[in-house]
Amino acid sequence: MSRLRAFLRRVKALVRPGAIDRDLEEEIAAHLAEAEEEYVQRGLLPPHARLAALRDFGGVIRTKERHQDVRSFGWLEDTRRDVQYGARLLLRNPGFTAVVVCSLALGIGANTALFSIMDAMMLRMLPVPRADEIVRFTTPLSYPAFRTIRDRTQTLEGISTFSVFPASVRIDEDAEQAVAQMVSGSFYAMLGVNAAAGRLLSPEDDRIPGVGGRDGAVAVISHRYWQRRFAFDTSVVGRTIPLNGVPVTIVGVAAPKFFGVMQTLSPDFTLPIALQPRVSPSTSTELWVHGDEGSILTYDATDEYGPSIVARLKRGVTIEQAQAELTVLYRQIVTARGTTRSDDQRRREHAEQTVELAPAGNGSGIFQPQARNLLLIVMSAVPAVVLLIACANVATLLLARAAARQREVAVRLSIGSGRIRLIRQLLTESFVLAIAGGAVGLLIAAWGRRALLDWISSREGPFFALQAETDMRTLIFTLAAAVAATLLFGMAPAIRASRADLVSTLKAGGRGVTSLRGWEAGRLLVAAQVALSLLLLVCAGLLVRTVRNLQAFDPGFDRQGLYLLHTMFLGYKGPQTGTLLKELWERTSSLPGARAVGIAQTVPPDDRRLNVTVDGAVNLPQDKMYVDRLMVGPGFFEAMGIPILTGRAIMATDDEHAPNVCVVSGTMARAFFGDRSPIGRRFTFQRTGAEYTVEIVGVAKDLNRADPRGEWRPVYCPMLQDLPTLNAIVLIRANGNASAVLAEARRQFREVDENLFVDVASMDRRIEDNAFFQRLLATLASVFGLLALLLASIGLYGVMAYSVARRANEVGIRMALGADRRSVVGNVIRETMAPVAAGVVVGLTAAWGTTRLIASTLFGVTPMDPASLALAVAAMLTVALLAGYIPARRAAAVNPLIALRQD
Amino acid sequence: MSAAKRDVLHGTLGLMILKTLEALGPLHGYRIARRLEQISGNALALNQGTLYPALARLEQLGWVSTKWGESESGRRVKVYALTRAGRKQLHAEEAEWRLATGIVDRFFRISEDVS
Repeated sequence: MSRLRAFLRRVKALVRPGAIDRDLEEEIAAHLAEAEEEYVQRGLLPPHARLAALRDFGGVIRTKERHQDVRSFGWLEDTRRDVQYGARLLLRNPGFTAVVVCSLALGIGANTALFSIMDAMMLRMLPVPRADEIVRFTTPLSYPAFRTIRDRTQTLEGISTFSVFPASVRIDEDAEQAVAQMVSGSFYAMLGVNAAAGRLLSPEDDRIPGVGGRDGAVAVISHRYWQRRFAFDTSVVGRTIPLNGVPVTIVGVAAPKFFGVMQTLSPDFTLPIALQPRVSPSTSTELWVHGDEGSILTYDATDEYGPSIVARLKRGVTIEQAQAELTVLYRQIVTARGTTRSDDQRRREHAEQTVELAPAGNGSGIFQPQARNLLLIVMSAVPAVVLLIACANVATLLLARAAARQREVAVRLSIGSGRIRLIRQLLTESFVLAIAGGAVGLLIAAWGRRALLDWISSREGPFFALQAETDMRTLIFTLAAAVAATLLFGMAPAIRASRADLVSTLKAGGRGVTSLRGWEAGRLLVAAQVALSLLLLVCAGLLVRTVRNLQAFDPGFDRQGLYLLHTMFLGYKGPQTGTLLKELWERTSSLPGARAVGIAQTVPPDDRRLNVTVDGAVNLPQDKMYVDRLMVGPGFFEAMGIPILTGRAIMATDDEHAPNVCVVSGTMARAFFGDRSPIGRRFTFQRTGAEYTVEIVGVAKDLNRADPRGEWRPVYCPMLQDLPTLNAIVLIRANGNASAVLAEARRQFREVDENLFVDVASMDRRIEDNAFFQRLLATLASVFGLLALLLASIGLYGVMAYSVARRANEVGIRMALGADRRSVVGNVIRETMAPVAAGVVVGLTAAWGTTRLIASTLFGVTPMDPASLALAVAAMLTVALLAGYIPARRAAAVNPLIALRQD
Repeated sequence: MSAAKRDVLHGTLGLMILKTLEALGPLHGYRIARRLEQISGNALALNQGTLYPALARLEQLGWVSTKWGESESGRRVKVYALTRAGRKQLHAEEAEWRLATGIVDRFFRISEDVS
């Protein structure tokens, strides 16, 4: 009982030492006053009485210290004092402290921010219970096959389709674009997702094709959309909104963290797949391909392709077991319906096919596997390198500082300081540094993550909705790494110093041989830093040049003042889209201020590579028989500024009633016809199902494209001959005041149909976005490369500055013996450049191995581009020279007399 | 060890404080110090300052309680009083102390007889 009380009092004393100190002070003052008064009464003069009272009392300070010892925990009090002392020392060296704290903060912050993003893009698990059981079918299934498997499977706990599609919704006046998905009724239950408001979808909602269930057409919105679009307004539940022209009722909001089953694409609306015939964008088969999630929406048909499928494995079932069972089921299905299929060969292919599953617990990103791996490497390697450099920096500085403090340590030891106590104090100091670095790092992490996120999201349009929180695991890991590095290098000198021979250290004045080892370690670290920075700089140089090459690349048409107004015909059927398209073109063509207006389904460099057979062509190998098709409409060539060399352009009259025609590029014509005229010749697209032959009516000037997928052979077919169309782009070349024209064009869109959304972008912006991946890498590499350079130069400067300061004596002697300033400066710089040169050599070697990894991303530069290498080396050397020159100048400014008298 | 002021025997200071408080009731620090000097006839040298860590320890153990009061001359001082637990502790220690000193005392008497 009394023990507990004593403990509590101690805790109180520790927490509020100030109040107790003040009490004690007052008590002692009262004591002394009482004693003084008594002496005065006994006849002493006041000053003497005061002295007598103090003599009787003993040491006031000592009393206070012993009082502190008694009332609290000794070691904790010590720690508090160490922290105070350490903080005071660090504040007295603001330069050193700032550099160490910034190094640590940058290392920790950059790492955490980047990893948080990477985690969100590629690694994070879905926020559902037992996410590791979630799998995705990589084999496409028809919807009937899906239903059969759903009813018969023994290895799957649940199975659901999902299919993401673009939607046009009208919440306020104007139509706007949104992302929607169609899922089976069991989707949410299978995943284990709860509602944040209202209810989620159930199998009842997915019962009747085209209708839904008892409640009719319903939808669930994502929490994010609820926040972004409705500001958490609860009255949104029950509201009916036209989605692709179909009124759907919002019945609920999904749980806050749930963003769908794909990390980078979070659908705003989720609808039961039974509504597919009505809300599906169009009746054409080819709709919307998204990364490796290629999904073609068909519902009732017997087509072989259906929506994507996710499933949950039963507990304890492995992916292989499920695959085996599903393959058996699938072959049964295919065999059973074999007789109804006309294409015998296709049936055989199917029978050989196996059902394959892939883990989908982490959501699958939008990145192609190759790009994904590259990004993964870059995004984890780059910050790791920076963290390494930061730690090396801290180590270098701590080592240098320890060397400089050897004398202080020796003095403290010689006047009776305990070794353990001393080490503890040095460690506390390191710890204070590490914590300060960590705190600032946390800020950098939060800020960096937000900045990166904004940047990435702004580039990819509304479909790219990445969410990322600061990743706590990474934060803790990097923090731990930084703290460990700091403590390690903070302690090494402490132990060494405390072992030092006191007498010789004091005599040598801190320049003794004992410091040599720390010095060597410092140089080694500097060399390592230089190597790593150089590596990053080389990569940055290559990527920056790539981006500049891509930017400066002449696409073969005029980008100036060209605007793209993108819309989608969502919820329109067949020929309707042709009418809409013509109307849009006619209305926008007559806008004043629009120099030329055209329409297209795709604009360069986007296209579709298709195999063809060509009448009267020169002989080409089978795999060279391809063209790159773009679907365009009237006005396209004028608006784009692509001259027609011979023949004619695509016109408004090239519609479904006219014969199939085509304009080809010069490259295509040369490839297939050599020097002969291509006009009037025919070729046929080899497409499964729908082959069709076109006649060449014109030849357009060639375009250039940055990506090297072999020779680019654009051909332009009339989009009015391939209806219905989903995507439509109106190209407007503006005359001067673009915003007025664009605003007017928007109005025209609304007048044509209020359900049409418009997404406006300049051609420049579009070309910029096409180089998004390279830009991302280039920006990351540049930022981190410069960061690394900065850190390395700071480390170098720190080492040299300490080295010079410690050898002021030696320099003084040399100068007293007749060395001139220039030779002193030369000496110091030579010494600086030795580790730098070593680092450069190692760095270049490493670059030689590393840059091959990013070769596929580069454009217009070779992995060992001499200019990039030279620039990186030059930057490194310049900064190193500067870092060495400042201390060298200081060394040369030494006054021999003062330096020699220093000790 | 006659005229020379001797140090307070280790561990006995607390006991002496408790006894003083029992005898005289609540006192402030200076009064306790003076009382200890008087009782010992100034033979005991107590750096008066040492009193305060000892008092702090007694307070932590819950054997004395403190509150702010006024001295005879009207100063604001901290007044220490014996608690019930302190009284119990004092009696226990007093008995132990008598026992111990009794034994030592007897040893000295025997030694005197022998010599």
